[in-house]
Order: sequence, then C-alpha cells, then structure tokens
Amino acid sequence: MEIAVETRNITKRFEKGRVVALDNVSIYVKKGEIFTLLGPSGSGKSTLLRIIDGLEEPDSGDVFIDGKCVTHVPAHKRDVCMVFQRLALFPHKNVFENVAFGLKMHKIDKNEIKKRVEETLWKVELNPEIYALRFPHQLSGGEMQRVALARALVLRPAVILFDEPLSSLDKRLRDKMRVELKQILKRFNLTAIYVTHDQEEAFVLSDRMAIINKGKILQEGTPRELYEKPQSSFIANFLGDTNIFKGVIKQMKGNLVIIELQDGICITANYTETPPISRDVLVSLKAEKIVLSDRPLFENHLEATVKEAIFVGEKIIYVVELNKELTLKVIEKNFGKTWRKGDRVLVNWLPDDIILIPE
Amino acid sequence: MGKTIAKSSIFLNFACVLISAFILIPVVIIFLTSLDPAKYIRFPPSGFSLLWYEYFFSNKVWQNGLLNSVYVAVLNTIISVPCGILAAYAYRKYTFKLKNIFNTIMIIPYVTPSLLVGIALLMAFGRTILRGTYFIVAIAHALWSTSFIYILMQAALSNYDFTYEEAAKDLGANLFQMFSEVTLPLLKSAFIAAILFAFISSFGEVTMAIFLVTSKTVTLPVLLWTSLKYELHPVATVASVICIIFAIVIFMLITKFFGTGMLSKIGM
Repeated sequence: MEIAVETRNITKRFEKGRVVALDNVSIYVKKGEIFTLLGPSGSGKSTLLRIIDGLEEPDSGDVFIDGKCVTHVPAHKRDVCMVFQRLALFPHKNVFENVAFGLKMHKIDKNEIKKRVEETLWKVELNPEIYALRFPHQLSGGEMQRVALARALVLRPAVILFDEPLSSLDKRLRDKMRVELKQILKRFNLTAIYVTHDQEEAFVLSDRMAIINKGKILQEGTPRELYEKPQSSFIANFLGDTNIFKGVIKQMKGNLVIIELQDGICITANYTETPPISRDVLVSLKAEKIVLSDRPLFENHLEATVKEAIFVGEKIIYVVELNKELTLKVIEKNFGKTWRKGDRVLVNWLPDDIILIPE
Repeated sequence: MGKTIAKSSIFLNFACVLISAFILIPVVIIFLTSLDPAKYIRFPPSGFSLLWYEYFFSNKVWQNGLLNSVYVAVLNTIISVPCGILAAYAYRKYTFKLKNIFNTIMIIPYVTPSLLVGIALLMAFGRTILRGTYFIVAIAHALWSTSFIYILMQAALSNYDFTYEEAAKDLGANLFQMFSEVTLPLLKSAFIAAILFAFISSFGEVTMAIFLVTSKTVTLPVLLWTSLKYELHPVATVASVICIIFAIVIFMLITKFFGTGMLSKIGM
C-alpha cells in the first residue's frame, strides 16, 4: 500500500487562537484512492484541504506528499492541485489558456503544452475544437466544472483536492457530474481528496471517507462501515435518517442483549464486537430498516400508531408512535401496502439492525 | 408601461438640458472670455482672437507654471498610486492587528481640510532643504491622493475574488507570475483609473500648493490664483481653459477604463 498524502497531528487555530479549526488531525490517503472528508459547515474540512494544498500553514503537525514532508513548502511548489468551490476559472483567459496555465507556469515547451491541454480536454469530454477559445462566461455550469477539473488534471499532480466544487449546481446536474467525476478519476487511476457536507456525494464518490466535526476526525472507514457501524451518536445522526434511543441493558445471553427503552418496551439486539461496558446505552435504528405490517414479521416487533404519512414520490416517510414519549421515523418504498394516519400497525426489525453506540 | 416611460422622457430630456446648461455656464463663459483680445477680463467678449493663447505659450512664467504642475502631478502619481493600491490590497486580503485603526488612519487625510495640511507641512518643512521643492508639494498632494486612491481601490477590490490568486499559486505561479498573469489583468482598469485620478487631483490643486511653492516651483493653479488676485490679467482665462481641458480629458479616460459604475460607488 503506497500512501499519497498523509497529515500528522495537524492543529490550526484562528482568531488569535480562540477558535480551534483543526485539533490534532491525522489522515492518510492511499494512491489511486478517492478519500472524502465529510462534515457540517465550519467543521474544519476546508481548512485541512487548504493546509494540504499549501494555502494555509498549520500551527503544528506535518503534511507529507509522496512520503516527503512539505509542511513548509509553499503552494506553488507542491505537487497537488485544487478544484475550488467557486472554481476560480480565470475570467480573462479562455478555456485553452486556463487549462494551459499550470504548464505555462512550469515553463513547459509550447508544443508540449498544446498537446497536453488538448489531451486533457478530451479526457473531461470537452472537444478542444469547440471549447478551446471560449471564455468562462460562455460556458454552462457543467462545462465550467470540466474545465476546472482539466486545469488540475493537466499537471498530473500526486493528488487532486476538491473543495465542494459541485455545490453550486442544481441537483440533477450535480448527480450526473458526481458519477462522471468518479468515472474520470477511476479511469485514470487518480488520487483525490474530496471535501463535502453532502452525505450522498460522499457515498457516491468515496473509496474511504472520514467524518469530521469541530476540527476532529470522529471516524474513518468505507462508506458502508460508517453507515452500518457508527461509533458515536453524532455519526449515527449525521448519516441517513436515524432513530436514536437511550436504553438500559436488562439481560445478556450469548450475542444477544435485551435492552429496555422505557417501562415495558424492550428490544433485542446483536452485538458482534466488544460487549457494551455500561448498562446505559444508546441504540440506533435506521429509518429504512423498519418494516410496518399488520402481522408480526420478525421477533422484534412493537405495536404503534401512524401519526404522519408523508408522501415524497419514490418513498413514504412515516412517523409512528409507540407511546406518548417514543416515536419512530420509518421510511418505506412506495410499494405494496401503504398506511394512513391513525392506522394501528406493527413495527418490525431484525436484531442485527439495532446498533449499540459505544458512548 | 412603455407609454409612461415615453411621456416622462420628454420632461427628463428637458431637465437634462437645463441642468447641463447650468453646469456648463462657467466653462462656456471662461472659454469665450479667453478668446477676447481685450486687455482686461470682461463679459460678454468683444471680439475673437487667439492673442492670449499665444501670450500664454510664449510667456516663460506661464510655461514654467504648466511644466511645474506636470512635474508635481507626475511625482505625486508615482508616490501615491503604489501606496494607495498596496494599502487597500493589504486591507482587503489579510487579517492583521489594529486593522480598523489602520483603515481610519488611511482615510484621515481625505477628510482633513487641505488648508490645514498645507500650513502644517509649511511649518514642519519650511526651514528645511525641502522648502519650496517639487517634492514637498508632491508629498502634500500624495497625502490626500493616497487616501483617495485607498478608498477608490476598496471599491474596486470589493468585486475582486482573491481565490483567483490562490488558484494561480495552486497551479504553480510564483508571486511575480501571479501578479502579472492574474492580479494585474483583472485589476488593470482600476489601476489606470487610480493613476489618472492621482494625476488630475494634483494637477488642479491650489490650496496646499500655495503654501509650499516658491517662484521657481510655482504651479499653474497657484499662478492662476495670484494672477486673478493681483492683476486680473486675461491670460488667466487661458490658464483656466487649459486646466479644464486636462480635467475633462482625464475624466473621459477614467470613464472609458473604469465605467461610471465605480464612480457612483465611491460617491463621485
């Protein structure tokens, strides 16, 4: 396993040290991997990206690119390229000049520049004959994205950094560009760090991802690992639609735990790794893992009343009430039997889908 | 809708003509008077001749005045344009200690009455070797002019995205390349406007200059003022016309490079 980028114990403070933007952050990115930093706005993810790019210096800690320490190397001498949130295509330069910019700065021979720029424009599916002489203001949102990507790609950097470049596009185009971006990155076996606050974007793009909040990396792993095995209630809440409850462990037998949520309402869960330490636990249950029925389907089932049924097209979101204080969010496909407000139902789930959060 | 606009435009046109006429009255009067061959200033003029223009351009004193004004204006431009631009750039781009105080200090010369600046500089440098030099006049002008360019550039930079510079650095540009490839082309028209403003504000300035010049370094506006005060010589009208022409040409250039939008932004 070759490491393309690594940060070690990066700490960065702003406003004379009053605001901690990054707190002892260590991540690594393997060669050919798409690594996503997912976090809410203000979590420090963009700052980390700017430190890797060289636009900011960390207060402490080190950045390694291709095994070399570059902490004090200025941005223009680092083998990384960034695709900016607002793209920052030079408005006074045409597409060719924009893409050629980096090569020109590195004093590459003119013919070589022309060859590489055209080659790269083809890579991002822009025909140079049509686009080379256009200016940024003559391009559509999607075309501008491609030019911004080409401008970074053409330098063949060790790693390409993305600072939420798709956030300005409308949803449909964003969904399309995401998939295309992933295809391009994978086709040319490029290493990328992608920063976003959009969970779906992170899931679509990432090989591996990290969740960052308040300047700290909370957990890292594959999208599935994070989704299925959150290690904190923040992550459980942040990813997907999650029901989180406090409970008390009543009984443990083998791998099964019986947890009492409230007087008389008990659920069964599996634990696979370490057993819970304290009797008080948090349990998480994803909204889409619950099935509503009129007959019991699985061992775990409870009676409930439908309080809300919200139709959102391909799915229906239900809010069901177990008792006055316990409500659940349930997401079902718009398929088969659907329920209406006031219906008495049974809520069912598999013990495997209950996640005990070690907190 | 279309009809209302058409109707009101008659009034609008009328108002425009009236206001323009009002504004132009002094200019027209001065221009016509400058063509009068009479030996004293009067209105309406009695004839038409270029006599006083000939006199202006053949007279050493007035020639020197014109040249001195150009020297001072050029010197002021060289001093105040880089200072004003760099100060505004730093203010917009970086965070630093006492930033608000810095901003206030930069604006003070713009709001200080120039009479006071003139007297203060006379008192400070009146007995030094700088007394009466072009340099001290240019310094006085540069105080005001730096402050003004600082305000002007703030307006220009409010539309400027520093991410372009970061993108340039990211793509391998060193500081010099970043400036010549990105900063300069994007801010070119603002820079040119700053140069023109600096030049014209200094060229026509009289209040500070009057304290600081000697007979050798006397500038055109100061000559004009003394001539009007002590002799009422008709050549003064020619000097006025020349000042006005300079101003008009430069303002036309400014609007060409800068557009009128920026002028309204800084309240001109």
